[in-house]
Amino acid sequence: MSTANAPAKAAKEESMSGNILAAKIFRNFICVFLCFLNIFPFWAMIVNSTRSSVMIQQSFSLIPSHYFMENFQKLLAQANENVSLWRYMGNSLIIAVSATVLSVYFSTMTAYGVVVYKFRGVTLVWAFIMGIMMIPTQVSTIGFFKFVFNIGMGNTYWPLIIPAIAAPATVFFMRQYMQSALPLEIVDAARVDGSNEFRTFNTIAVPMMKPAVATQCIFAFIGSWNNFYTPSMILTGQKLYTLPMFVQLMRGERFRSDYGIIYAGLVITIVPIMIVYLILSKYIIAGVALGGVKE
Amino acid sequence: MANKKKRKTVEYDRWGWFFVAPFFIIFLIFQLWPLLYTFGLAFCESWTDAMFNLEIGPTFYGAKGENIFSNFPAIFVGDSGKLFDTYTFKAIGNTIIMWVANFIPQILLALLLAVWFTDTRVKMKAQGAYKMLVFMPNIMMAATISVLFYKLFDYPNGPINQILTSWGILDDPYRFLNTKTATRGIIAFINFWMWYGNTMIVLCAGILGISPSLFEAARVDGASSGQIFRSVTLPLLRPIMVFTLVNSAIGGLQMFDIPKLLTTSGYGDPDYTTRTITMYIRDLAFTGSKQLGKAAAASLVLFAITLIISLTLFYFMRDKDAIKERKMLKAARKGGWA
Amino acid sequence: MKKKILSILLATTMVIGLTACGGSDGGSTGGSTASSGDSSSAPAASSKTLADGDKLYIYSWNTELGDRLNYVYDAIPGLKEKVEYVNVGDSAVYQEKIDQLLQTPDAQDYPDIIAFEAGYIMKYTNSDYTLPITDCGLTQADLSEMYDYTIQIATDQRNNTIKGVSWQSCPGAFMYRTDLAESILGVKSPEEMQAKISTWDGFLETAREIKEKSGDKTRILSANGDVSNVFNSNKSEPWVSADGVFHMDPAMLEYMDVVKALESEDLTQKTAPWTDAWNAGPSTDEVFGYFGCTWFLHWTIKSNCGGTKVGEGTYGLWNMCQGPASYYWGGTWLGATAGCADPALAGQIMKALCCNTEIMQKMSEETLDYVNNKTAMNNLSAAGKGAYDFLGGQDFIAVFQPLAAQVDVSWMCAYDQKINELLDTQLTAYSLGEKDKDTAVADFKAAVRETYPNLTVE
Repeated sequence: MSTANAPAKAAKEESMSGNILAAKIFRNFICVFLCFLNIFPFWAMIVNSTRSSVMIQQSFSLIPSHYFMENFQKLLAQANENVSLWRYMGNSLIIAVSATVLSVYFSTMTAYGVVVYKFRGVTLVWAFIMGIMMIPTQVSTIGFFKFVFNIGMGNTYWPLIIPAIAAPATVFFMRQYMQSALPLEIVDAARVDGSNEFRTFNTIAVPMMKPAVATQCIFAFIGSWNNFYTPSMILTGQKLYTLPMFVQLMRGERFRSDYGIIYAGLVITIVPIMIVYLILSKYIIAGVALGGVKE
Repeated sequence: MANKKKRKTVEYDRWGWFFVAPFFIIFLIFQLWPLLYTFGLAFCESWTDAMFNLEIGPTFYGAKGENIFSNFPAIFVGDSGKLFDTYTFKAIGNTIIMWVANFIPQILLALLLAVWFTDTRVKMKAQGAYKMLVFMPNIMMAATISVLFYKLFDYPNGPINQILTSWGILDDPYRFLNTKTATRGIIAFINFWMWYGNTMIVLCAGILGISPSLFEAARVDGASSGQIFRSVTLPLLRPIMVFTLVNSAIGGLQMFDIPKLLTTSGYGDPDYTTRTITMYIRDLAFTGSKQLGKAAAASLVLFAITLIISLTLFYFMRDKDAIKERKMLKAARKGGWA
Repeated sequence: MKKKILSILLATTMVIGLTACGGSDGGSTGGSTASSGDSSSAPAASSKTLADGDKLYIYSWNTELGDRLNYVYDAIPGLKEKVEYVNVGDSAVYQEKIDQLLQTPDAQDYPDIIAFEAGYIMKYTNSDYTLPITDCGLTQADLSEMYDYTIQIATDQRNNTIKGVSWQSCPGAFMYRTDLAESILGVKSPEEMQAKISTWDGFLETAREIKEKSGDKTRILSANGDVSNVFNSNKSEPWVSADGVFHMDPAMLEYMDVVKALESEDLTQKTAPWTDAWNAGPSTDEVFGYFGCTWFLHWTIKSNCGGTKVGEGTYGLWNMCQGPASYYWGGTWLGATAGCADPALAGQIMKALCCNTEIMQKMSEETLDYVNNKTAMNNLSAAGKGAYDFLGGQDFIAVFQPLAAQVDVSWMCAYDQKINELLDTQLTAYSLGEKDKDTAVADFKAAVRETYPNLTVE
């Protein structure tokens, strides 16, 4: 990000003690190594997706070839047998967007309820939300599965979307942010103006929470988009499959004969998120830092 | 006047219930009820006769006049008659081993990087880029990452084998995914690799949150970097580290996607040594005799273990750190730092 | 879809009624199936027909059945538009998905016809999830051309009703490379090859010879697990007897020894079946042969041989012989589900695909599938259609015909697939030297007990 001002830096460095310079070189070296370690698997994947199956089997290379479109066409043809690859992507998108909207909106609402109103039992409510953050969600898998199929929601998107409304971690983040970013005087002022409570929330509080909403949207979206556990249990009809379930399918017989196709498939599932990440990484990292500092 | 205003606020305050209501309604229906349902199922006979694909139960053991804990003995006592010598506890053991093998290097490296990135003496210029790249695997689809590593470590023609043989490190390709240690190692590594960036960023934020005057004062007093780290950074970072630890432990106990998709059969090859507790619960519930009752009982055990582990961690670390913090503040005041 | 719930209820009561009175009752006639195309399908058992715009869902785990259905579409006009073929794509998750789908009879994509593999078909035919074929309008006469074992496998053990049909017969053989056989072993004919590997000792001896004489380049098999099907079908009893007692067969102990020898003496490529490296085998000189059955020849070896006509890849350089023991592997059955939206239509499909000599003969001629129809295979054999350029002119029908007649499936049971899987896990550990044989067997039994607690395991 900022290696451009090398000459200026060099001048400064001369004034530093040798120790600090050595430390600096050593530390940067380690960091570069770690970055390499983090990029290598992705790079290997991308390179192999551009090579033919025969090339991949013969030797490893870090230099891309030109078979990507061919691999990609084959992937589409094989995936398209009855459900197109784009459909898996569309399904994931539908679920992730709906879950994100519900999760972030209702979490903001819950946080607002806890921060703005001093109703009886508010501390209990807050303690409760904190407490359920500690419950491992997968413990109730069996009951969730049975329940969902009993009420006829098996093989639908509802059980993947609606539960997003109760997201304690998001509520937690929103509350932390709201306490510093939402002066209660504004709420009072709105009341004086005769705004009803929900209108105040929607038109005044939510816009003021924009940065937090944006951050949490990113995380909620990624969480839902990457989720494999719940959909693989709930969804049975192939037309409803999500992208991670498609990844599992790629391990099946249908794709086993060709390495190139599998790498192309992996690239397709990962590159969109990677691009989004490169654009938004600043906000994402800031969000992680903010969410991590918990008292 | 004041009185009137207060009453009005109270009136408004009742609105709070409407705002928190959706959260609680959905929580009750989709989380609490399934949780209770699972707990209930743990005391029921519920399985499928594979020969006739016949669903049996769920029937409450009590209603049949049987011991209501019928699902539990097989979870705790194995065929050998030894306590904990069961598939359930082997799966729990696998999970814990793979979690520890990922967490220790993860927290150490994250701590080291966090200290480096916040070091005011040795400023690192490319921090933003480092952070971005180091964090990247965290947001990637675990399913994809897992299949990717499965391909990278493929036998005999995966890239890792190709590299190791062409560099002469190995004479012949190695069957990584047929070896217990290697497979566990790869799973631990993937977890480590996906999460150390996240932990590092959190710790960075934690260190930046510590009042700079504390560091300054220590430095003025002639404390070395090591001393500052041990007696200022580490104690003040403790609450965040506890939180990271507990979060990671809860997440680690639920490890599923990566081991599920990394091994050939998906049942924790080789010889169930990488089968985690959540994989095991699903195998129980959805394969073989579809033992939902026993799977629910195992879930209950997982719940108890998670609770015990997180409470223990909280208790131990919390107490100590509060004491230390107080001591340190006292010392700081005595030494005239603050 | 409420309508569907009602029809499911009707269907289930009907099934219960039928099974109670032996399943011989035909029920009321259906009638209004559009464009039947086959006028002999008179006794349709159910009054349910597919609603306009609805589709008949057929589930399978790969493309094979989908390809074969094209023959049925050609024979029954207008059918193609009514069928939705769902390829789940992974046999590892197939059963789990099917089981879940069967729990949601009112879902739109509830399966109407399911494809079953031999390893688990009995679990479904022994249950109320599948319909007797008589309910779909098939009669005993329709089954006359089939190999008996294909009917035996699909028979409900509770009341002897037949619940599934198959279009293929799948005896197995050892498929090997003729060029490698000649250059490495000096073997020039399938008879000579058979003589060398007619016993397991002979097989292992030949394996050592291949490894040694090829200068460590070629192995007799790709994966250690390639021998599993041969041993599986040579069990003297099924894994689990009718009264729920688990039985460890001597053939399985021998299987463990052979795999151990293959592994420890480095006699195979040590891949795993169905992985990329394993699939790549037929196109290289590293693998001498595979154990495979009728469909395996085309589906796996031919499609991976690296060519599509003689001279390309290893096309034309293969031959078959029986190997150390005759065996049987795989095959796909079709069964209608209890909630099938249109049993008569399902019956038409099953009849066309699995009973119609004309269609099946055409299918075999074009795809070289070994079909489950004795007359069709006899006709093809008599017409000299068996000579196969992929096998260098060897007559594949002549090889498979006697083997098909010998197939014995008394060793099969509903538990096969899962129990084989459990054994393979222990066998891998044993062959790699992680544990000794006794421990492996004990662990295997423990795993069976854990997976099926209701069984009696010694």
